[in-house]
Amino acid sequence: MFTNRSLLFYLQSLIAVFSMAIIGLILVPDLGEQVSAHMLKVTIAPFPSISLLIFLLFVFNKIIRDLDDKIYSLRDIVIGSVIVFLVSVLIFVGTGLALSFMQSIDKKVFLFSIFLGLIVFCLFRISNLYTMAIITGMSEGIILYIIFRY
Amino acid sequence: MSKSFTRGLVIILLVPYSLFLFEFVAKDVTFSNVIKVVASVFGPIPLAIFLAYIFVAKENIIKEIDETFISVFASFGYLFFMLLMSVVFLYFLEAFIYKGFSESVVPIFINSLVLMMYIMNILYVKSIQMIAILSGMSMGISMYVLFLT
Repeated sequence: MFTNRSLLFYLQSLIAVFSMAIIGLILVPDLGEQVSAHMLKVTIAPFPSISLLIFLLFVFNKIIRDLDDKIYSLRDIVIGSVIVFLVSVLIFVGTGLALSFMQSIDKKVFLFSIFLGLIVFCLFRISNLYTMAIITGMSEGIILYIIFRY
Repeated sequence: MSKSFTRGLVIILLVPYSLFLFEFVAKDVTFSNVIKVVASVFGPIPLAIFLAYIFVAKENIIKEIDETFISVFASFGYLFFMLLMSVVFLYFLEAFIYKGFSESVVPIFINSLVLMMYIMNILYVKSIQMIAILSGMSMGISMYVLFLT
């Protein structure tokens, strides 16, 4: 049922989700106090992205799954690598901005659920080389931010 | 001969790596420090998964080394040359650009990146010169961090 490429895709998206959860939700100095102080806001924070995700899943009803075993050409590989580099630089800069501007936990939960919705949308609707490159860039950028800046 | 050669190179690579991982952890064990070390050890894994995603459709992934053309002197020359070059480069990097290089977690990340390229080389390219160059880089980084600072 699963091809090699679909297994690698799922593993990559799992790593991206875990790295985002670590940087946004676990490495917080006072997690328990913040959650207990903003209980209502934390509960309502994921709902915009859930509704947006349901809307997008109904609008884009065409499924693009390009995960079978074929040999990519050089042009595809170069475009994918450029996408990985650009997205990881963007996430590396944007994580610092987001962590400096958004100190409270509810806004972090909102951002986290937005990216989670993006990954779920890629899993259900568009899964090919370029979305794989986007997810790789996200997880790699967050890991580089943890290593170099945190 | 080649199998024992690569095995010895792997042992040479792994021993200093584990040594200065423990050195970084033993400074002060806090939660964020442990997270940083774990992230730097497993940092290149998304890149490795992406490369595997690209190259998974190739046939004959594991190639054989052509054992008749191994020249031991040339590969040890590559090894020592890359060791010397990486030590000199890291010395000038820490002196002029990145001040807290050997106290940070970045050498572990570079070392695990080298390990990832090593596995990549074994699976797809399989050239002795590349193995020697990568081993020299890793040994140079470890020796610089452990002995020269």
